[in-house]
Amino acid sequence: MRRFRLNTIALIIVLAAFAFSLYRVVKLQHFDSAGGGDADGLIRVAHWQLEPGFREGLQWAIDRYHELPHVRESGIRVKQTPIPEKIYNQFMNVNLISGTAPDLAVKGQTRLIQGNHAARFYANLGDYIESPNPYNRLLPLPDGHRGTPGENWADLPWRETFADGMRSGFDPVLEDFYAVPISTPGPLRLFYNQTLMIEVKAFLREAIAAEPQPEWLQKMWLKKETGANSGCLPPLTLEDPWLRDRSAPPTLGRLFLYCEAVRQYAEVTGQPLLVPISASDYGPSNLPNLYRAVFLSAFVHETDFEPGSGISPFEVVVGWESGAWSFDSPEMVAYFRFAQELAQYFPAGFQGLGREQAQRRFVLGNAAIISSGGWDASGIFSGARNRDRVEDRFTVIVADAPLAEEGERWAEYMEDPISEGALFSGVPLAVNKQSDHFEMAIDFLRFITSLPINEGMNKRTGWLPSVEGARPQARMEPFMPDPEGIPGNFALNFDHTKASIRNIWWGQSKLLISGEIDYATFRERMRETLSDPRQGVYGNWVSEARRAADQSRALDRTFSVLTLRAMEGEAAVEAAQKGSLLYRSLVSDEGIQIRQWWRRLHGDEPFPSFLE
Amino acid sequence: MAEGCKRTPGTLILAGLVLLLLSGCGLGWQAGRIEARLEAGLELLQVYDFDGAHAVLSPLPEHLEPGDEDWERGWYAAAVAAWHKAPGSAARIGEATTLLTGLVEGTTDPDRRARYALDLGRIHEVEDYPDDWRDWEEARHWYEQAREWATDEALAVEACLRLAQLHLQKLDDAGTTAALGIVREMARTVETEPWHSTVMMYLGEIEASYAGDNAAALQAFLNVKPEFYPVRSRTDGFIWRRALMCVEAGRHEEAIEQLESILHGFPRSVYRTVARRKIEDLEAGR
Repeated sequence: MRRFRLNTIALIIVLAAFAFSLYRVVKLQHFDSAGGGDADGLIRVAHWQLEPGFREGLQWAIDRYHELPHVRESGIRVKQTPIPEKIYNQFMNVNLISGTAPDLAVKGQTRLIQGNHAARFYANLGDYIESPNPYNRLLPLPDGHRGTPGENWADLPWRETFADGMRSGFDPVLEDFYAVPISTPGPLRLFYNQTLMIEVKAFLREAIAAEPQPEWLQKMWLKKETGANSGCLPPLTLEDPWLRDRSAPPTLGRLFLYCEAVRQYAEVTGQPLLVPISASDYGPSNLPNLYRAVFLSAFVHETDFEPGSGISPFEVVVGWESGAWSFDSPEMVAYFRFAQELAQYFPAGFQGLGREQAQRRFVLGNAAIISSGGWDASGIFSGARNRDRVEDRFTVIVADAPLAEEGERWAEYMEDPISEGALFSGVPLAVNKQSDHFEMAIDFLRFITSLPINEGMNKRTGWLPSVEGARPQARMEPFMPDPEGIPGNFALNFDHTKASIRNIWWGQSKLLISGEIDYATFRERMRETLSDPRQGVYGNWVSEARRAADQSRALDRTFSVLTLRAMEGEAAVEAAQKGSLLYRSLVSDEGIQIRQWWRRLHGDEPFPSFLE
Repeated sequence: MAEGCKRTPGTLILAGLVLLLLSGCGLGWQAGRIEARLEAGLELLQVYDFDGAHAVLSPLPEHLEPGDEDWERGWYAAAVAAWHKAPGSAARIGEATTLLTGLVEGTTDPDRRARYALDLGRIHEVEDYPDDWRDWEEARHWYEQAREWATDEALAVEACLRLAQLHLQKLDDAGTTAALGIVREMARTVETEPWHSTVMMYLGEIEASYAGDNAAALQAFLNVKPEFYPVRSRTDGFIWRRALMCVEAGRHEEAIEQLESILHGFPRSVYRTVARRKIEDLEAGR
């Protein structure tokens, strides 16, 4: 009898949950009907920015838009549809195909819109962006604005009002603009817990003053032993200004010293959960990733087929094949040694942790440092500021990832940081061709990318603005991209190499950095992969030739459509557009340049011809 | 295009279906129906829906003859749809080739003939489907025809560069020499931008990548006006490349000039630091 009752209760709960879900689905379908809006005049905006602050900032802009007289008259309402990042592409694929996609959506990386296919679903904005954004004239500049970017600001073409010249909205295959960026994510930085910083620096000063200094500290001082380096920096004295102020470590050696001091402090004060760095499997919070390009930028002159253009993913692999670099290159060995030494300050099992877990550890005060991008700043700031107990709250210090200074370990590999000049704006919103409210969707985009609204919105999102002259929150200023440094494309980067190579590289790198395999094993596994006739270097040539052929075919299609447009007299196709298409079609033509490079490297040996 | 953006694929597909239904109901192929079908097909082409466009446009050509008002538009649109319909097949490519050849024969306007000849050349040049035979002789014939017919500079440049690229595909010295001859001749005659810079850029690429003559490549690249560099978003990278080539050729003053143009003209360029360093090195070596 008792069992029967329990089963009945469980069944009732399941049925109630089902009924509630059904009600929600029906309600959402009824009120938020897709298909690019509905009869009630709804414009939906889909994005995956679920970070704290973003939705609130966007909602602020939407609310301001609803207050405009012509919007009130039209009865149009704008509603955001936040979708988790993991299912965003799938969501968009289904809805684009079924014709039920939102009116405005962040143009993601789904395969459905690669090549020319973006044009099937999203509107070409080329004609809109060359005229001024009317809201830059209609709306007053924010209080205290310095008057930049000039008197003629309101007359500039919409495109030229963006900090990146709207490059993030440009589709290179379609040779036109297909999205409008509304925010800039901000590059990677280190976040420090200031309360811990003060306590640990006091602890460190005591250790430095001790006679003799504790063994752990002596091990940090750089010395040469049997030809190999140990330690990280020359001995510091109490006069070192960094030990006395509240600033973040200004050099890599001091960063290592600080991490070790945190570890010792945790032990001495009985805080087993406290770790120096809150790392996880999430790329931006995996600190060695920030340094990889710095270490691996030495091969650009030997690896680059077109001098000056940087190392493409294809050239990374060809560089190994030609001997321009190897897994015995000092830079490669040094990078992994560095990464292993840094990883000793990560929590145990960090490869199994996710982005949220890493952030939670930091805001709970159980980590002294976390690395991430500007998009996470708002969540981290608010998490640290809003702890339940006042005594647990702390100030967050933001700083660049420091490089080794002369005299410190690894200084010979770190002349410059990586330039952040190539960082484009983000959250590029594309307009669904099927939108019932197409013109109003464009109008809304103009509104949120006018200088005053973009500034106001991004002060609330906690991101950087996308519009030139708009100011960020004061605390976001450390995230302003710094163009000084070496170009990122000078570095060996496996992130976009052929999948079979990239996956092994990532998997084996993780095992090596976490200490599960040694360097010799890593090197051998990489050698085996790269030497594999299909998956390795030969496959790299074949897949690059195929990619180039696909690219030239996509350019052919774009060329034909532009020609038709010109013949129909529907739009003046710019000569520059045609010139660009023709040139790119010629140099990527059927992968012929790849074959020419093959010939340069392999002489008369036939080009690999197997199918992938 | 602004207006065109509002014509949605869903509506267009519906329009296509209605047209098919009407024709199926025996309303025939009157001029109005042809025009409506053509417009629907063109709309689909504009959104790169080649499959949909082919379904709508492929029956058109048999109802249009030279002299009809929509003959040229209809045949060309149907040819483009057949050419780019995925996946490519011998039947579709044959259909596109027949239509384009008909257009060449039935058109008197030299630039239109050149346009159709260029498309025919391209179809013969590349592999459109597995086991497609690349007929380079036929491609050469059409490119040469286009070169002869074109009065418009853009078409003349395209014909010339496509012909040169065809020679390069042989990947031998004779092909490189022939390609260089064609492009050098074009470089002497083309004056207006962006075509002058496009030709110079391509000439530089051939000299550097195929002929291995960096000095000649540099000379061609120095004739490219940065504002007309074909890949606008990478103009600073191109100037950096040109500066490195100047350094290699011992033309240090020109290298400094190039590098300074990065510092002055590209405040967000990733090449700023390396450009500044290079200037310092070059000035120290003076």
